[in-house]
Amino acid sequence: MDQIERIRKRQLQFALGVGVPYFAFVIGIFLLVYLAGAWAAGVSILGFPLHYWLVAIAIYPITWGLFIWYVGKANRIEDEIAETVEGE
Amino acid sequence: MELGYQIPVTALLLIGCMLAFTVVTTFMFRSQKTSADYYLAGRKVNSFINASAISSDYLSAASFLGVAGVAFLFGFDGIIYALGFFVGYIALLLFLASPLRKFGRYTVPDFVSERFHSKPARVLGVIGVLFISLFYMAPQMLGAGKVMGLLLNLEYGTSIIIIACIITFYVTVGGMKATTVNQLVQFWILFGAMFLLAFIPFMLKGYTYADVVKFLHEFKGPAPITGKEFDGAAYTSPAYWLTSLKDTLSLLLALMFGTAGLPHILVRFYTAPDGKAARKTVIYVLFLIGMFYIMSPYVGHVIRYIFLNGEAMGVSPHLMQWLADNGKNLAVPVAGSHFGGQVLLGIVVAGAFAAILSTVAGLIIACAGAIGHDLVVNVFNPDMPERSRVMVARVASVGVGLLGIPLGFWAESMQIAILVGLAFAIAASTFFPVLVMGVWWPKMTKNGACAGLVTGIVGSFFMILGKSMLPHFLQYNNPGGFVMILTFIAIYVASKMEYAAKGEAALPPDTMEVMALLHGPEKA
Repeated sequence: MDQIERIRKRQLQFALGVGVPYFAFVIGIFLLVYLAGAWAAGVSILGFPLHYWLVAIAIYPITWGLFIWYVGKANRIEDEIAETVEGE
Repeated sequence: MELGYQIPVTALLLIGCMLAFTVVTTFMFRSQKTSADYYLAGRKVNSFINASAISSDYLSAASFLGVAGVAFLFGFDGIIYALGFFVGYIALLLFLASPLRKFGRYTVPDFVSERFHSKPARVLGVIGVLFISLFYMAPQMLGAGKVMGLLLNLEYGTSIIIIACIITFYVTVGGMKATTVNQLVQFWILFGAMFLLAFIPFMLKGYTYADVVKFLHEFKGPAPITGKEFDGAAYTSPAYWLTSLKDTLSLLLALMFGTAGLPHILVRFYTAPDGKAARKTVIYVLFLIGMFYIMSPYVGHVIRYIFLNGEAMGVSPHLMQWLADNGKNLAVPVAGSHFGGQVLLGIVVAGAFAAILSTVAGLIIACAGAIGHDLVVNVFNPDMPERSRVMVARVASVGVGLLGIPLGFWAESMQIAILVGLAFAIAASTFFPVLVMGVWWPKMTKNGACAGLVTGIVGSFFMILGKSMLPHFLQYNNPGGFVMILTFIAIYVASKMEYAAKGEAALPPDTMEVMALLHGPEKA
């Protein structure tokens, strides 16, 4: 049972370690855009306002990249767990 | 060009799609031998096919018609719906996709009931599934009624009756396996339609996103047809429509966490062969829906650009009138008509129907599972033979499908994306906290689960439908984030109280076995 607890905590730590910063980032973007809207609307990158870049474009590739890595790592953790359990 | 009556190409394309779906369904009908086949397609759906089907399930009328519509109406603020719908998958990926698949039951109430050995929790789960799914079905029927009316010049009421009958037929006959195949086809129709709507203005007409936003930002003056003053700088800036930070945060949280509580999406992960496949499926889904959500707000902005430039661009007065009257829900078909005449209008209408059919099919399967499997079989008659179970599932599908008709009438005057946002609010405040805590917190008790479900269901019910009776500080346009926090608190407090009163006896006796099943390695 201790082993299951260790596995659960390891997986939870990993999920929270990725999830909490990610959700904080999304809410942070949102707060930046809404609380400093005039500033964000005034900044332009390649002719496109910063708030549009952040909310309508950039969030997508950032999310794809991060979570492709996450799934690979989560599956590796699961393989390690399976090997450990078989070895014991 | 007129939109009603005179569009035979559109009608032919649409009818062709409908017939194709029906043929597939009828073919698949022959392989529905067990209730696992009916509800879960035998748990053997390949990741990419499952991802296309999930994306199709998820990209409903709200995404296809609503996101572009809300961007057309409210500019930058409308994009929050696209962002929230997209990010919603992350909570699902991080906390639920793999454990729920490993747990390996049919439905969300199954999980709640078997995790806590509680029939009341199962019944509350069924109520939650029905509450969320019916709320979600209403805007789909609204979209169907409006598009069908646009296509064939039918009365709204006639349209929703026809649509409800078609969807009920093909879900009832085909079950999850046929629904999955249909959803695969439907996804590529709706994705292709949105792609063309973005590709034609962007690549062929040269309307870059930056140019369109720049034009809108600089526009100040009366809008065509309505004559209402249009302030482009406000339209392209935050807080044009979402003026209250409290309300907007609550909406964002509902959209971010509601996906992970949607029964028709959750049930899809049970169809994956294993937990790893479930995770891989989410990655494919993120790609597919991400591309879709980049395109749809752009299309909404382009339609606003066309509307404001209508006279100079030679847009027909009929289309301009349509945009002024129905732009909130029908901006996308009007754009199809403008950019590609009858053919693109036909493809767009087929895309809208694909979005609606696939989502409503998923909702009907989820509701039928809740009624047939959870209530009738598990609560009232656990010894029911397998053949009768499939029959119960089909009868439940007919009942739920036909409920779409009154729901469609109820939703007639609303905006699709906003209404779906409320379904997300209920999901975020009911199932998301209960599932996350149930999966990850071994000390959660039966009372905690019931308290969470009651708080989510009752809280969202009163805050959505009884909003006007509440004090001002409790009035939210979308209460999802607020009630979700209350539900987490209710689960924690009720579990702690039960644990304090009963000690270890408060926990289900097989808690650690369940934790091993949820988080341990899968058996080959």
